[in-house]
Amino acid sequence: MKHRRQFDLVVIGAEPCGLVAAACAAREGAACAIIETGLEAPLGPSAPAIPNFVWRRLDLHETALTVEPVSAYVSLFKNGDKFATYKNDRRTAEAVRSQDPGDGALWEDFVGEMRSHTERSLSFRDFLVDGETAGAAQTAHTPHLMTDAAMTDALVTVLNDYFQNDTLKAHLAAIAGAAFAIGGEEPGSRLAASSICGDDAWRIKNAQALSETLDHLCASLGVARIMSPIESIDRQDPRTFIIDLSDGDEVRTGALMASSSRIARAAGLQIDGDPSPIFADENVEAVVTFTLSSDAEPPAQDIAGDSAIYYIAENPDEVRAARDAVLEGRTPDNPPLVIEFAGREVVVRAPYCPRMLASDEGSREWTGQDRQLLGARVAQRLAEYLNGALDGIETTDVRLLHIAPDDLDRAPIETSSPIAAPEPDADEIGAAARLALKLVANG
Amino acid sequence: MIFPGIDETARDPRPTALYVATAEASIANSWTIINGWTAPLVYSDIDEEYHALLTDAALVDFGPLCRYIIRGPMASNFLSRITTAPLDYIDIGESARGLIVSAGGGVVDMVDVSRLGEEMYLLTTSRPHARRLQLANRGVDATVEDITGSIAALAIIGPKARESAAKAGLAIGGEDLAAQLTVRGVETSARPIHYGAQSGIEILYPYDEALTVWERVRRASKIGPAGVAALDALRIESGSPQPGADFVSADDAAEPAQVRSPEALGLAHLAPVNRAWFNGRRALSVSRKPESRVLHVLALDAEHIQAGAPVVRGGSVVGRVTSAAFSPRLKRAIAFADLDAGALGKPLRVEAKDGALHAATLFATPEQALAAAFKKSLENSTDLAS
Amino acid sequence: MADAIDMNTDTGDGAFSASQEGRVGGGRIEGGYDAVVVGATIDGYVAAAYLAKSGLRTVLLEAGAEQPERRAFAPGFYADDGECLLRDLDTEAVNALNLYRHGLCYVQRRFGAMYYFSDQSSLAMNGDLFCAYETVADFDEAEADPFQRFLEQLLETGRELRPFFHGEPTGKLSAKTLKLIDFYGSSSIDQLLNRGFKNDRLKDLLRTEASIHSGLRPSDPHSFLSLIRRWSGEAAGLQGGCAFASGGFAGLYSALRRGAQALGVDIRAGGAIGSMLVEWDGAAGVQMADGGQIRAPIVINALGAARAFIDQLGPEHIDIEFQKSITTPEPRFTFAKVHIALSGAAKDDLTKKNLSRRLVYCPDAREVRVAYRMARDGEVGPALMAELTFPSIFEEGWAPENSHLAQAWIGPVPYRTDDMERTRKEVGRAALSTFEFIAPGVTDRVTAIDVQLTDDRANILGLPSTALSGYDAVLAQAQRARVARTASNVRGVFYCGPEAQISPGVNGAAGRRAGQAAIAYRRSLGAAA
Repeated sequence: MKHRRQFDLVVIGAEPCGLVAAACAAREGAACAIIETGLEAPLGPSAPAIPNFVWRRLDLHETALTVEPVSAYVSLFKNGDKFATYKNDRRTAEAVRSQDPGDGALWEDFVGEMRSHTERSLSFRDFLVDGETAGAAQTAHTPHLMTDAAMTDALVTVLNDYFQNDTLKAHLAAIAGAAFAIGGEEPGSRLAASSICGDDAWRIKNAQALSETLDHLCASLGVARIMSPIESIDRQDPRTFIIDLSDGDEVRTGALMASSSRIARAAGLQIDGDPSPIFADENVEAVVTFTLSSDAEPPAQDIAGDSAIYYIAENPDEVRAARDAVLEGRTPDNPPLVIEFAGREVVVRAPYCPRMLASDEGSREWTGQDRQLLGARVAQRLAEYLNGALDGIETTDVRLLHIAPDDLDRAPIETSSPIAAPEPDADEIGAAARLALKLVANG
Repeated sequence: MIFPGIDETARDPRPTALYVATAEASIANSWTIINGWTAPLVYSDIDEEYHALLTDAALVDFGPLCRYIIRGPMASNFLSRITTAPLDYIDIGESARGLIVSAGGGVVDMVDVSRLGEEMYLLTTSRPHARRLQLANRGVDATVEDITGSIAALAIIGPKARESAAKAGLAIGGEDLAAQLTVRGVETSARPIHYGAQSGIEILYPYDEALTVWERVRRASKIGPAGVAALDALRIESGSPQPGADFVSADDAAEPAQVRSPEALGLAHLAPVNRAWFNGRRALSVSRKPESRVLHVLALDAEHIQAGAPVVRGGSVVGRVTSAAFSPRLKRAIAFADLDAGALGKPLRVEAKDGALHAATLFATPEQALAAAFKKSLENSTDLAS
Repeated sequence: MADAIDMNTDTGDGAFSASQEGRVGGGRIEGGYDAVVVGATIDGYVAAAYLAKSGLRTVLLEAGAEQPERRAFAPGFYADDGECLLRDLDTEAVNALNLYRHGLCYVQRRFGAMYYFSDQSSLAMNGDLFCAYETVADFDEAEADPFQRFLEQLLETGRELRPFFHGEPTGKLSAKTLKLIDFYGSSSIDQLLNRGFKNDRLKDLLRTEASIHSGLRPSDPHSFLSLIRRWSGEAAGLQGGCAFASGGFAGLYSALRRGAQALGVDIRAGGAIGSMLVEWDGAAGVQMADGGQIRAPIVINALGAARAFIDQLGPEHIDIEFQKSITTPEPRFTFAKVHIALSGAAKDDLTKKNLSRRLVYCPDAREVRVAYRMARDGEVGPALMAELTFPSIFEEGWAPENSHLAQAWIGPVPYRTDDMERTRKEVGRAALSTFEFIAPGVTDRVTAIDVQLTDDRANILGLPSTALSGYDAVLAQAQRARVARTASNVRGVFYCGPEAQISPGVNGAAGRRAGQAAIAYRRSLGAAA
């Protein structure tokens, strides 16, 4: 018996950002559904922040959820140096000042310029309009001469333009690189700096609580949860998508979106419109989880606090080299890493892994052996930086995000039409929520 | 010089060099944050502080202002890229007011430049401009040193500021020149300044001696301190708009409509397009379009009004109050308002929170008089030309 | 004054050549000119010609951007250091200068192309991209159709965006054009190629065409516009085609020079420019390094932006935001121009037919990525993209009797290294091995090789190497051009240097635009008086 269901918005991907997108749309009165793909990333110790407008729309103060920002982002260096930035701009400015007084004075201007960039529309139409026809007076009052001209700047260009201190540059390149797997030399990659400096970009601690609250909220808002794999997507007209599920059901919806561009790419779906300059789709992220025999001791607690996220990348060149390796289908020699500690577990993310590995015959999929090698390489690199904090590894688990696990056997989705996906943004939740609200408002 | 608008979201204030002194003097214990520095809003009584500033003299902690020392053979070229101050006309020891104007002709900040030596200047700004200074330094060789947090800055403001300073051994003489003076073994640099239209003296000296000079001046001259609130009432009366409150600094503007030219702020005399080149002058000399919005001081027939209150004419809103204070001298609220240029000269009312409409009249300020005089001189010179 | 402006063009040859062509100097202060053009670049000539044509007394100072000449690199073999394959000459400028009358002539147009791939296969295409279907169908039947459609879409978009590439103010662009820029704006070449069709060799072909000489990595965001731009222009009446002018780049220059002279432009050789004179925010002329002055109320600068604005106008006269906006980042890699002398070549019809095309070597995606990575790190990759042409096939005089001249764009190669001499040698070797791949056995006949990296050409042409490398994204160039064109709002100063251009290669539109703007400015002055 073929069931037919009708929705206003269907979200593909049940990650926190997908749940928020569906919940926001449901609050607007739209009939929403979430399709689980089986490709969702597992929850890590930290989660993306919830921007204020989402908090307001979902009335999250009525739930038991409390959010607490992670205490610091810390870069570790081989020679034992460490450097931390904080959610509090002024405290960060102090930290920068201690490295280089000149850079410290510039920090707030830097953050301000980066933020003003994200706040503005990134449409090229706006970017290019020069008012020459509207008369010189109007041109004279264009305030953003400087930032506009810089829209296609590379991340490293901006960092070098502002700062002297290499530690600071390495730190920022590592954070921006980890968030988007960019190399930092691509035109437009400064957008990554804008994104990570954003007000809502600072990650929060309680990923588990957030996920549970959102699950509960979606259920109470009547968001349907579809577990069956998608067989095909057909766009009948701009306002009608027909999704055939493998259990034989059919779902019709007025609007369709992926919860993130990565999930869309992993499911083999094409993304609608011009991709953002910081959307790199050649890579996958690996998550290596080490379980230790006793609780791990996070390093640099004097500056890092109790819940820091650690970054490893010696300099911006290492980040660029990692991106080059991904493009060539290799795992990088010195992979930039992101480390989080949670009790006995040490969770390490390696954002620069090629989707397909290069081989003599072209390219091939990841094998179990490749994963093991990667796990060993990561453990070795950590040992160089963590100074014994990783003693007593009991188990090592390597997972590639957004690549179907071996036991998940799914046929590719048949589709001819691209689907909407949020712009890549360090504020993943906000980006997904904004897109969902836009789609529902148009309908 | 002027304090910038207060940023309500600022967190984690740092103490200024004079914090120990101001904290001790603060009976009301009412504080605010300016540029990230602690600043006392009121010490004990706003009325007393206001009258001291108006008729006598009072001590003010100028620590929250940003200060840069510019050195080098091209220091004056560097400053002329940044500010509108007439650098060609100031001799050693002299100071001049000016603006920072963006390339688009929008006002970024209000500044004060003092020439301390042949190739050395002190630039005082109300807000930090590290990036602007960094960019201006390219191609023009000068060294810039930010001394904001590393010195103590004590100001004596009021008509009797000089006498009070002299009593403490800080007599700066008849000419309006900066002087190097030693008081109680502390090397200080004293110079005449203005806060809005109020004149005064500013004393800069080493951070560690903050308390020494403060106490010396306080005891010798028997004057008390004044807080930001009292200064603000005087500022509005004198017609000095405040970046961050009365206008959006062109560097922060999110859209072109928020940018204000010197003319719109009533500060055209601080950015004279008929004199030497400065950053943004070309844009200003091109745009001849009359300003559609102007900033003006209103005197209200009321005692309180809040910033943001609508200014109405007939039934329509023609502007908003941008900052306001109670003027003990005028016994009424006085406010800066961003107005439709067409609404000037018509009867205006301001709507209070409770819905009451208070009559508002345009208030003539000293700053405005300067602007008018400048405008007149411009007209005369163009008459001669044609 | 108004009469002079409205005066027609036919005032006779050199009516205003007050002083005969000669050098500036002697510390004299000269007046009597309406406009000074600084820099004898293509745009400089075009701008000067426009001014002279509308009756303004115009002097053009070569100012270090010297007339390029053919350079002998081996006995009887001549190298051409400019971009000699013309893809997009501004038709209005060509007509205004009457270039065809003054010696511009194409000895070869509608270049066909022969593409060689890393797997030894090859594909021949004729010069008209609209007719790609037939040859591609022989190569890959199934993909010919999508490929043709993809090409046509590109060409259509290119035509639509042509005004944008020619520097039309964006306010005047149609909504459709802006929408296309929005649509293609931040895509990378790789992203869009992966959407188009499946044949990897055809992707290699387009990737090479897009990346060669644009200097952007195909994986870079914003790079797709450079492919559209490459085929947006028209050369000798064919969109997406290219043509070879008689005498090469130097030949084009001679025509421009003669055209400008015929319109009455006074061309002065030598004499370094000290600074631009600015009085009351308005142009007042040019100060020579030797102390002499040429006074005029209009100055058009065609040199590099850093030289024009920071050195000649002076940082104390330009807004700091403006200075920041015209700054070009230094590229990491570039393309080299290589000339190869070949002995004992046959000149029979078959050879002529085979060699009167562009020979393009298209490495595969991975090789391209490796090459870019190595170039970035200061090394020369094993397989480079290359585009070869043979000037001696279509014109006498490039090579001695019974021999040929091959010239190639090859890259990516390092932009600057510690040992440039070594890099040149390595680039030469890479060029030869690519040539050998295309034509086995050819190495034995090579008698000389000449490698010009971007810095070398910059020295010869007197232009900044950052501009010549063409490194930046089209949108960045467009944005910089729009700012540079305002010339920091100094009245009477106009700018048409390399930073004011967005066009694919040699064009002249920036010069025309600056010239027209200057004329309009002059009219407004006349109207005010």
